[in-house]
Amino acid sequence: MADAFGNGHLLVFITLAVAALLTAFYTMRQITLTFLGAPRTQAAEHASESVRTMTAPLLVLAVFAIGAGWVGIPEHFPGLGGLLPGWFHEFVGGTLVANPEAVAFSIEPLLVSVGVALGGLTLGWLVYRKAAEADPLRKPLGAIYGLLENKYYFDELYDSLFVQPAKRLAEGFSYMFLDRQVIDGALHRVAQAGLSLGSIFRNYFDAPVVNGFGDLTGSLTQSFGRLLRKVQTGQVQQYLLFVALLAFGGLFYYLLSVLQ
Amino acid sequence: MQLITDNILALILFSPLLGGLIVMLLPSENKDLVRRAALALSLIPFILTLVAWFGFNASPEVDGFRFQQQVAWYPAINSSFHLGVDGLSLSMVLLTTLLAPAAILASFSVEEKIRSYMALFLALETGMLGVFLSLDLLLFFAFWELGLVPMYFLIDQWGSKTGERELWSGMKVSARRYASFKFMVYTMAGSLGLLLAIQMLGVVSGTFDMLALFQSWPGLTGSLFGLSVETVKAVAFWAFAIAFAIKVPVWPFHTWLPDAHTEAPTAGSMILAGVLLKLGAYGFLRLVLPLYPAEAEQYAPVLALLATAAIIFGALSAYGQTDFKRLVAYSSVNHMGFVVLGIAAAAFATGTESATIALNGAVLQMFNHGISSAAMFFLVGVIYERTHTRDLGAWGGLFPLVPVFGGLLIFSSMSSLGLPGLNGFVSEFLVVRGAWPIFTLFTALSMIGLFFTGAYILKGIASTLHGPLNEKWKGHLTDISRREVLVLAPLLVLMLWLGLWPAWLLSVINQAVVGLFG
Repeated sequence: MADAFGNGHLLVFITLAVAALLTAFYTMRQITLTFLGAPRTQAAEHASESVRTMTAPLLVLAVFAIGAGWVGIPEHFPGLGGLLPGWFHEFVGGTLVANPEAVAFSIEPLLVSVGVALGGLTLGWLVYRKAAEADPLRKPLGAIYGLLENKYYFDELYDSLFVQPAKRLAEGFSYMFLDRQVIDGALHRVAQAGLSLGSIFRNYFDAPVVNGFGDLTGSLTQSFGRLLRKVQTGQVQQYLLFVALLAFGGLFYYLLSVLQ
Repeated sequence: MQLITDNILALILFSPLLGGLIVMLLPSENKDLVRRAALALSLIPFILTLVAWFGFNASPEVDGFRFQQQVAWYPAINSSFHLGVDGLSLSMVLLTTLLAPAAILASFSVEEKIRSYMALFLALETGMLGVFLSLDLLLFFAFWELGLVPMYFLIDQWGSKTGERELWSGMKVSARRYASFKFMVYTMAGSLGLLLAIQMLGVVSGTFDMLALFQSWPGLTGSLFGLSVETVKAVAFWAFAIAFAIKVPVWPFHTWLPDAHTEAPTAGSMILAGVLLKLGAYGFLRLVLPLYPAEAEQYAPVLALLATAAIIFGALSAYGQTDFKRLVAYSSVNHMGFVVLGIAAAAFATGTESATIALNGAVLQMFNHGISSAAMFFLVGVIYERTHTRDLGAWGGLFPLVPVFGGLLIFSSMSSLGLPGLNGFVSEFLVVRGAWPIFTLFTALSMIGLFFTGAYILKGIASTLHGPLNEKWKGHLTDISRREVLVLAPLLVLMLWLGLWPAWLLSVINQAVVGLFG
């Protein structure tokens, strides 16, 4: 904030100041709602202190939370400057190619930042110290409260913009359409064609022609047999008649050929 | 000892088949005996592979194939029983002989027809090893086809019992019958062209020996069968490439994979994803690139495009799954896409440093994917045995019920995802680093696939382990057992070891890559 003010970037300075105010506000809102006032639920009434394994690290962190910034207090700071070694500027600045100058001290950023910090804390406490179930700012903020509560609907936006299309691309397009319909469909059509071809060969060639030929041989033999068996009458007179006919026929043929 | 080291490859190759025959002679009522005997017999080729590994001279200065053995087979057509390894085949042999005992140990929960199951498994192992070890084209093809038959029966007889697939006109078949049939016929259809091309090579060159063909075939000029040599070579190249592309699988020839992997029994899926896919990639590296360097360079962009499509659509389809096993199956399509991308990059820019890096990455990815997908399929099998469902929506919040399983699932998933520190990252990085200067656009597009890889892996883990506990499973789940952890243990160790220090494997792979492609 000091740098922004010192270099004349007033818009940045104001934005930072407002952000600091809101930060203090929501911090105090959180502390007030959680720790101050009357307990709002059964569980809250019976809450006990955390175990040492939780509070000890928090203690360490608290020390740093409070005091870590002190290493950055520049020399020329009124009152506090020079009390503690302010080595941070040199520490970071020394690593940069061009070691930047510390901005000259001016009272306005100091007053504003302290003001917004303390003011934010106070505001938070004032607004929330008597809060019941509903957030006291819900009605005054109206629609904005809903927007903030739903995190500016970013999650819903990402979901509809990226997640759902990705799912449709994955399941609908790549798997169900490309793989199952297009590629497998083509494969199934090849298989179907193979099956049809095989059926045609079976039903129009194999069965009638090849099998049929074999069957025909058998049935022809049978019908010839049925026909020829009529010669076998069982009557000796007929057999003798045939013998006589053949004998005379043979004799006749022989005589004819001899006479030629 | 000398006898063993002299014939080590033949021993590695045939010991599983002999083991299978021994298993068939055991009494089938004594299930424990059959299982333990199969496991013990499958450890023999593994130990022999380790012997070969430590006796392997990995310095690139010594060129050619080690432990060569050649015996006359069909002298009339100049085809011999010729075995040999270089760094590429030895790493694949190690993968095979490592995964086979793991898969057999994983199959201890199979209850029906155990003898046939174990015998088929061991016969399958011989088929796979034969492809990696053979240095003769006819022998290669024989083992290539031989590996299909046991797998068909494993899927058809011991695959998932439920599930149906609708064909056309309302005709329905059981899912495992559909999957096994599709797998076998699809792969065989691709192999038709391979067989014809092999025959043509043998007739024209007068020999089927790979080493002789590598010398004579690329430099062939003139005309053949009334066509120019270039035309004949292009047709033969595509015949080879299609056969291997179906096996890898390269998009769009990949649709047999989700069906076969999903319906196969757990151990069958481990071997399918772990080794059988690598047969296709191995075919590319061993045969297509050395025999057709010019055509490979010419059509490499096509291959790279298809590889990128595999990476992207494999990841997308995986993300859209509700069946965990099918999700892992599509992840195989995704990971093998990286292998093919590396191969395409190496084919396009042979001899450059990036090509060597890409090819090293591709072969390492073959090994790593074998490890991680075997682990993933096994873990899915573990949860399936307990819950009898693979539906991601049926679980939820199982982590407190099965913490050890959950931890192992997350570990294997991270390896599959390519987390730095685990093996998947090393190989994927090498492929991307190698392919970037060669096929910048394709590599950049494949990052979309990598993005969705993270999505589907996390979807799998989150649906299973995280979120609110699905009350249905409370009290009905037992954690992963000691036997099951034992199956995973070597795979997990390798995942971490290769992720932190892959040099021991890369040096062996590099020997082959530098030796073959300069």
